[in-house]
Amino acid sequence: MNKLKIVLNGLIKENPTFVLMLGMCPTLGTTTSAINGLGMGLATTFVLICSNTVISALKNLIPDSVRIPSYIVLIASFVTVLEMCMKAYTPALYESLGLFIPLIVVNCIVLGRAESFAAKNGVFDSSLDGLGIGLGFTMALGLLGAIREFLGAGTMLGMRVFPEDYGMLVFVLAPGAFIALGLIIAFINSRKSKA
Amino acid sequence: MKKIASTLPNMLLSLTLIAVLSAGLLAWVKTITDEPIRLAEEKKQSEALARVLPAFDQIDTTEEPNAIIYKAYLNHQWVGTAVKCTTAGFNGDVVVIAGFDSNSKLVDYVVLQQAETPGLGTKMVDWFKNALIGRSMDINKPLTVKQDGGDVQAITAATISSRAFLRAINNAYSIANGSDATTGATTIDEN
Amino acid sequence: MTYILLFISAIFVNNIVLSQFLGICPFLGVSKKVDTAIGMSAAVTFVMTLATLCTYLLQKLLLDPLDLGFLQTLVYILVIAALVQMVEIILKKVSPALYQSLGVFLPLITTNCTILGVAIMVIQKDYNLVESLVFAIATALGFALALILFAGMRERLSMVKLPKAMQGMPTALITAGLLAMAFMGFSGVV
Repeated sequence: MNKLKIVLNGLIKENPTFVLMLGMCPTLGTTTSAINGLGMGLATTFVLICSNTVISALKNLIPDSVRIPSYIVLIASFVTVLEMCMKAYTPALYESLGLFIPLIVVNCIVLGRAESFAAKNGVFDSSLDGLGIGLGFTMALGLLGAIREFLGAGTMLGMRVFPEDYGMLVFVLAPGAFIALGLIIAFINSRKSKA
Repeated sequence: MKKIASTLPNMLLSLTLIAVLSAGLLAWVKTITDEPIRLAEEKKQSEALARVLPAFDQIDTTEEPNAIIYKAYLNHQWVGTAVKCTTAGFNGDVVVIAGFDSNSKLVDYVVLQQAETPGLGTKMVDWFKNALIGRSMDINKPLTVKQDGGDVQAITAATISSRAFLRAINNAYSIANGSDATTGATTIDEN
Repeated sequence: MTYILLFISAIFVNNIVLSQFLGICPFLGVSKKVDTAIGMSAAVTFVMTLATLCTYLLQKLLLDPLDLGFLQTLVYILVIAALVQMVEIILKKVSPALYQSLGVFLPLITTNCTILGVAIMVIQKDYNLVESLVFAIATALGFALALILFAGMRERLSMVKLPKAMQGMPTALITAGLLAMAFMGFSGVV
């Protein structure tokens, strides 16, 4: 399989958010600003690459019937590693993402890729798949975060675009997350049916 | 290499192996990150203190049951007191550190921890700065929002968070005031 | 009084799905019919209460005294996974009828982030054991309320003619947004 194709597959054809619609909790919960969305996306990418690589390296050593618990232990370890590193080197981002960092463990994307890709493919391909899916997720979260930040607070990556009083506050709040994501997916659907 | 079969010894062996592997990895990362985590927390603390107090060269720390008091001295002369205290916000605890100079003026505040609604309650980090910085505190006239008959403009659509924040500042002041006889103010009783 | 306050605020004001964004996957996934929504809610309530109790005791009796707080995530997810398996096996033996109705939802629960989320939240918020249990039950009821309301709305929505691009997920998400907006009205209650 073409290496570039594996990465692009995760970015576009199997984009975890817009096409597969997995991992909705962090997608909605952490995208109050573009920076938070990107940070969450990159954190998940780190876990995806690590877990995909290690699981595909160990796949022949893990008997089938204890597959899932083994994967969960490995994923949970990488999440904990990430948690400690973020606490040490990016404390501000760690605080704003809060509970969603430990919850990467139960993000269906990570376990899903371990099951459907890493358990069947080679080490290098699996790490590329982790990278592709992770970047696809990061892109989606960054986009949603940017839209919500722009409409809700009138800023872009923290820089003011229009005065705050004209912002639609609802987009930063919980309902806006659902509505913004719904509209993005509707837009993608309409493009797809035309193509 | 062929995939190993799902027999009981194999299962136990591979699970144990993975558990040991993960534990080793975690222990190793913990030893590496322990020091930076501690430093990051200390840095946050000392930056907050530098913001909320006048220039100082020595800090005297006392721990109370629900607050930490930092008395600041410059050339052995008392210049101000900062108090870190916690109140219940709209969603979890709000931890604020507020500093008062020797004339009972609020120097500045820093919100150390909060989990208020993004876009509403979270604005407390900057919202009150204009109204409160440099303001003289009076123990008999605690700060309250306009809705409660006070003169502080609450954050739009986040009155509960605003109340929690002001309660934290009021508590901080009464603790700072009560703990320090050199201000000349009377000690207030705890209620 | 504090318990009642905690209870109400966890169900309505800080609803786990509509304001904390946890458990969105089952919220969107199993809300096409009211019956399945009720089954899922019952399973979540049961497992959440049990899991919170187990992880709380484990944290206070084992992890805290040994200073192993950094293992929290790893230990919790294993406890939850094991617990779900156990509940499944016991239910199968003891009450086949209940297993019939809840069984299909149990495997889904391990990766339901509300369970792990609540287990971590009660530790972060420093609740005592009773508060933790009240919080767990109330959160699960909040989840059930949101899920069942949403399923009722989707049952009706499925009969409406919509533009092609809006069918399915987009409409579901926007409906959820409106429901979340309605729940924001509770924010002054507590």
